[in-house]
Amino acid sequence: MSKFRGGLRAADVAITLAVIVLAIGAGLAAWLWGPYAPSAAAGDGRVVVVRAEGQPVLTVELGPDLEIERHDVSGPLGVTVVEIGPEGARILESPCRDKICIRPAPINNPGQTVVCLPNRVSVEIQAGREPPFDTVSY
Amino acid sequence: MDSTRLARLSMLAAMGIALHLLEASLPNPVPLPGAKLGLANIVVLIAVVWYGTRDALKVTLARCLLSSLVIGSFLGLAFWISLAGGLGATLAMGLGRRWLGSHLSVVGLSVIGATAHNLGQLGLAAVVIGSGAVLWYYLPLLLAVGVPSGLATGLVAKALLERPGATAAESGP
Repeated sequence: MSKFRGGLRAADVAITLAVIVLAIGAGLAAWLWGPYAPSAAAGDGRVVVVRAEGQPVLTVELGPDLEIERHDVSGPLGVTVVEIGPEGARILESPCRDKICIRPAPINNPGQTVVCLPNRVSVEIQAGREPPFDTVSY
Repeated sequence: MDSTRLARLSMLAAMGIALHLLEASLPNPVPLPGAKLGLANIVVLIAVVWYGTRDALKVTLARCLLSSLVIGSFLGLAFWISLAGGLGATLAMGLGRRWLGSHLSVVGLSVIGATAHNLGQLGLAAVVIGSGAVLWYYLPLLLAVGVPSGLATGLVAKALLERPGATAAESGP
């Protein structure tokens, strides 16, 4: 049977490549259909909480049927525009100097936050119901 | 079984424990939970090649039980997950040897073993957590990481088995 350098055989290379392909396939599947997909993530009661000066001013429940809406939030520097839609929440415009808060990708997972510190605006995703476990240890 | 076989299997188990403990002391180069070098698989590979699936399972069982006693994770979650992965890997390698033995060298067996190890661990983790979501995130990464570690341990086992003194009194099927 054919031998590669080091005494490997054709079947070895085949098996290795097969596992690599499997890994890539699993990665693709996870990207397309796994919990990354916004439509899969929505609809379980998770909530966007927008705060100005620490006080909640807007609470919107995320879901796949949500229409994209822009909300104006006033802060000491001016108006921050928060966009909430089926893909999640993000900050569109803000009067701050550095514009760090303006991210192209919306957040939609519990615990994620986008914050405009100079204008005292925070956007946070909260879980709708309690997760089944309290903590994880290894 | 005769005493030579028993002694050799015990030695293999002891080496497996030592490798497992060594690996536990090393800093983890890959911060994925469950991603590890799998050095103990070297020993399992040798056991499979020399003595076959059933005896290799005994070695794996002894290794997991005893090393968990030393580390202190006996009957804990880490122990069960490690056992699930270890037994799965041993079975996969043993059956791989029996069915594909003529085509596959030890290196390919090791890749199979590493993959089965990851699948077994992830499977049990998913059952324990009660959610399949774990699989989505970790499966692709663990499979990918398992390939180089499987290749590495396979090459080491291959080098060991090809040393002039490494003949078994009785070889497995």
